[in-house]
Amino acid sequence: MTKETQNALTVLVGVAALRLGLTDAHLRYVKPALGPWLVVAGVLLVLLGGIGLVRDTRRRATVDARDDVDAHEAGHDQVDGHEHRGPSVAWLLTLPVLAIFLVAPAPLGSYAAQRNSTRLEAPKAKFPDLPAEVRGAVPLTLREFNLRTFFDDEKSLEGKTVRLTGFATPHGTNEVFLTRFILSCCAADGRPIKVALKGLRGPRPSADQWFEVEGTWVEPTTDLQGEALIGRAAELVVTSMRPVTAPSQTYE
Amino acid sequence: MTGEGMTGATVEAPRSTSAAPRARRELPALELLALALVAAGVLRPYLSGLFDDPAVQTWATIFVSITIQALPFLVLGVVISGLIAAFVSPEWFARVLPRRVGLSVPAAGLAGVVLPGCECGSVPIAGRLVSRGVPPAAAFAFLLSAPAINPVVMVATAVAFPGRPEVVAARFIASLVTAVVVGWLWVAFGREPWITRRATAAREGAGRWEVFRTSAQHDFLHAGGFLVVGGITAATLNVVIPESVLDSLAGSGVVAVLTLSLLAVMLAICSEADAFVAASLTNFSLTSRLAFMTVGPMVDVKLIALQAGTFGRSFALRFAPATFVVAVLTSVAVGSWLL
Repeated sequence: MTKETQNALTVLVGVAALRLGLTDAHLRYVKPALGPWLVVAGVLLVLLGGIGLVRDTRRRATVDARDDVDAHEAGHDQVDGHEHRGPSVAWLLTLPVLAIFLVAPAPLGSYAAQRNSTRLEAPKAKFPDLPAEVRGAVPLTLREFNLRTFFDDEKSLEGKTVRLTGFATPHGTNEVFLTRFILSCCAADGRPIKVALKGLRGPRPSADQWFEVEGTWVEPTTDLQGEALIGRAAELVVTSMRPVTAPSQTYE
Repeated sequence: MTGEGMTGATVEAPRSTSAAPRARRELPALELLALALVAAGVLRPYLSGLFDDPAVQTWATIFVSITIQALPFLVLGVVISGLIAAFVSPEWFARVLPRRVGLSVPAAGLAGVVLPGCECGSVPIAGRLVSRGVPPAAAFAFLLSAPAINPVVMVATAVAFPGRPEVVAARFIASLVTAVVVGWLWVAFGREPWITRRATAAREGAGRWEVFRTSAQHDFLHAGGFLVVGGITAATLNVVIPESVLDSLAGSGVVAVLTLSLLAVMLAICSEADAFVAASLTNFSLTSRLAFMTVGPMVDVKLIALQAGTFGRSFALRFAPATFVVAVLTSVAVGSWLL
């Protein structure tokens, strides 16, 4: 790999990092807090490679003006064993760059959600009061809804209408889960949080379509406690369900 | 998409300047890169068709997210590595580290506390330390401890296990002990010839900032390439391993410890996040989850690739299994004592 190519590749990876960090695109892959650090990394890489490009161009210009002696020296520099062999593995860095610019993989969806389940641990602290109703329903995250369903001794959800937002994950022959992933760091550690939708009428929601769902809470049957089944999810009796566009932050 | 315009511009600019005499002798790599990008742009509709399959799509998402998540930490690592190459003399290390190698190992292990971040950044730094005359054993203790015991990871662990400070303590102790024991093992049994690769020496006569720039860039391209190898492997395992396998091996015995240790190797989750995953594995004993958190930042498919790239394959083939065994045994010992 010539010096030129090394510089260009460094700039290229930097531009990819900047593109992710400066737009919402990074939210598909990593937690929001990493966005600014992607920008910092991108700027540093563009500087590392960019200064190299400028310097080499300038050096070549002065060398051309003088003799060829130095140019030979510079040429040796790259052909010599380690320097030449070592970074050829760097070509692989084009793969994530190509993936980001050309494929732009979607956020984790129903396929990953079907293959995994998440066991939430009981929170140590008592639950705070439910948030205020908005347009006749309590907006909750799927995680909060699950936690309150299984671990709230005071049954704060009893008799309430709640509003949840997530994508549909079909399961088995006729079950449908409303689903959302939670991330700790990046999509590789993403874990799905699910709510089983009950009392659905009409055509089955298609996989990965986003919905805003309103419904009422169902008290879990106690014999489910501790059972390791894929759908150990809170249940919601659906009163209304409308398709929405996916939010820019799909993870909870 | 604006992105294509940007990439196009990036590659176009240098191409026009590649008129040097050597261009005739070598493969016109830059032109190939430009050509590949153009071809990929043209083939884009077909490419995205290829990624319609949900399994492939999930694989691509996880691959990109592992690479992207590691990138800022890798850049931090190569910047520090470049600074060491340019501004810290070998004599300085000789002065600050205890003269006896056996003592320099725990000192370097404890020094890992100061590097916030996850494991990708510490490999190029350790490689640079070895090339600057730091005893390999000490550099390896730092390599292993830095991603596991730094404040960011400790805080993340405390958040993931609320009200369980003993888990944080156990993680700190098990990780530090593993790092130091592996360092001492290297003092006792390690052989220099196993390290077949070295960070390239800075060119004489170049200015310090130029040394910094070329070292940092070289380390970035080198480690970055191996990071991609690791990302591909981890994404594949992530998609291929069915969860039912995990459930059938849950429990508290030796099998659980080995299962989670191997899982840590295969999933290659960043050390800042692995505590949250460990917390969610509630069907497993706390000791086995401690093993998961001790092994993960020290041995995983991404790290093995990075270590093989930095120190050579014959090194990685010995170092990774040895570290794995020490980490598992230490976790079991610390777990039965504290958890």
